[in-house]
Amino acid sequence: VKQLEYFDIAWQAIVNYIGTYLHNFQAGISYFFTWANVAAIFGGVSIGCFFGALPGMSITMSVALTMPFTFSMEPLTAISLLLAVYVGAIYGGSISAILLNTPGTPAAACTCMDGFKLSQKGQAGKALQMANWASCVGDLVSTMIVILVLPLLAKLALFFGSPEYFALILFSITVIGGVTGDSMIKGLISGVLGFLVATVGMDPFSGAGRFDFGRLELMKGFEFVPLLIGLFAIPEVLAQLGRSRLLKGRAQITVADSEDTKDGKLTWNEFKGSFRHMLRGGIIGLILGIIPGLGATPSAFVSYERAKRSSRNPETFGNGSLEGVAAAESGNNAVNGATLVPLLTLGIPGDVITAVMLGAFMIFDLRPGPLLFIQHIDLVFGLFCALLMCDVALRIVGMLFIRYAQLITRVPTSFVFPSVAILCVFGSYAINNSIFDIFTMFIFGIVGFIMLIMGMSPIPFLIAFVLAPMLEKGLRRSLVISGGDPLVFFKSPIAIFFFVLTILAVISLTRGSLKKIKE
Amino acid sequence: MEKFSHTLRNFFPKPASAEVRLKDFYLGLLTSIFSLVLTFWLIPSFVSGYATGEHGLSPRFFPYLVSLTMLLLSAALMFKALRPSAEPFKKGPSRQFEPSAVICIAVFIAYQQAIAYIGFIPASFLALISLMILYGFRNWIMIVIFSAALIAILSFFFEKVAQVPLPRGLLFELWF
Repeated sequence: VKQLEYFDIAWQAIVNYIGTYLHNFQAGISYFFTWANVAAIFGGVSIGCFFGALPGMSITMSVALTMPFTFSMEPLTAISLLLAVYVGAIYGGSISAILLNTPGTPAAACTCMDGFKLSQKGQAGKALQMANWASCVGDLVSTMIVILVLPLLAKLALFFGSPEYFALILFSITVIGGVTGDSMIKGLISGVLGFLVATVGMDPFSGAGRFDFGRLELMKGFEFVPLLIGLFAIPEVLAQLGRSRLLKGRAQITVADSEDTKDGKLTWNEFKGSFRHMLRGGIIGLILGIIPGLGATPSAFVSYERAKRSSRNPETFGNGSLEGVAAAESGNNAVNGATLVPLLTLGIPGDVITAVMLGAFMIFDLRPGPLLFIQHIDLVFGLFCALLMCDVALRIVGMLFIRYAQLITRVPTSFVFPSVAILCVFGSYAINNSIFDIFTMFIFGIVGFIMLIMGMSPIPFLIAFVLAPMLEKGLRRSLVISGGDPLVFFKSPIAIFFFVLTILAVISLTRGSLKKIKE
Repeated sequence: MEKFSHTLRNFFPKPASAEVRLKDFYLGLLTSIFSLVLTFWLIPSFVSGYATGEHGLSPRFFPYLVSLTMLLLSAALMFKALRPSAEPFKKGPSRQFEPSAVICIAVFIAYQQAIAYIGFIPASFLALISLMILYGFRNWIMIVIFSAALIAILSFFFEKVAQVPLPRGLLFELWF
């Protein structure tokens, strides 16, 4: 009888969860489906495909440069636009990878291996169609799972207090610092510098100025958007300048013969043969996307490797295999929804794109985390709808894009990067109408360029900058509550769990195993 | 002691190339000097040491913690770079500081300064032309047409759609 009672309670809880879930989803649908939001998704995917297809433009740069255009929009429209640019840019990267053997984004490097070979065989159209299908299926699989479990995960996040957040941020920065850039120590130095830069401005507890040097502009600290644009776009503008000069007269990018043979269209059998790789890529992308710092690039390679092992024709991999293209593309696109898990549930960005998203949320005075699921549940479910809509838009825009892909990939860098620099200046100025922000952007641009030369990744810097206020508050609040007792951090099982994970991550990183996955 | 040094050696997986090690050594040296400057000059001079409440920590607490961590990491980086390995230190041709990048930075500085004097739109137009030339594009008609079109589109969006007033510059204000 008692067992039946437990079963009843559990059944009731499930029914309640599904009921609330469906009710919230309905609210999300009615909040999302406006012309502005749908246009933002289609426009964002188009912008993303365009930027992603341009060799040298990273996904981060694409999202960062779009950000200034969203300041005057509604929060859901703005975040949907940024999400759509992200999704589009990952797919766009595959276009130049397939046609030019030059990945538009690092995540598309894996697609090059088979995509370009297919282009050389006169099957560029097939490769691009397969990339489009795989991107959609991979993303859809991971997004659907994320949407189903995210509200449950947000409930767990309610158990997080100051010590737990401190431990979690420490873990995130250690992993992100460890897997990005040349070495773990340099990654961690980059993160520490980010924490330091975030201390400029008013102290969060007393309001006293820190490192403001008597300047009013520094009292409120460095603005996120100019810092982001400076760190990620300006170093690329400077680095491309060197590369374009080095390339001149010496090397030419090989362009594949794009003329498709008669069987240029993807057949049902080819699609069916690669479908399981797409599904597997979706799951791999989901798992690797949730882990801080890993993201799209390792996901594509792991998915590709798994597909090669399970394929009936492994010898074709690397020699122009449609299955290879499908596995790589589904793997790299599947991280889109997954990276939102730590951001939306805990307010902790797992990679640089979600750090940008967090910046966008903050511009609209929204704080991702468990409270977002209580105070702005319609926005959360609206975002779920936006994610699903991105897949629809990617399918439609992506197919149209294939026709014009060749033209985009041939836009010379002498047009692209000077325009990017000017766009950076407009974007940095627009956030506060302040020339000081342009100065900030250029200064962090030079910092980013020095970091690039030194082999330091700017990703831990940016994520640490975003998380620093939360880390400092968590640390100081915990110590104040405990009367200065540092053992407060070891009383919570969740905090202990993350401290243990941090130690394990350090051991794993120093022994090189996590780095291998990343590579 | 030997066991300790063995453990410490194993902490770092493998020695990097000589060129990377030299770079790392300079980076470690630079950041350790910076963290010392922070600890002994910048934090005491530019951050208040006044603590709020009974158990409140002063605003200096977090910057001190950060600078100490940076010092430790910098020391670790230098130690890693100095570890004896088969390859001796030597300078190598890596990602060099391109002279054109220095000119580009100079253009950025001039651009930022010019905004206050000649205004946002003319300064952007001139900066775009300069950058396109720096990137090696030589078709003057295309440069002017493309620059004018891009600046016109961006100005229209930011001024009319996003309602961002772009600075007119000192000269414009004196003129009119």
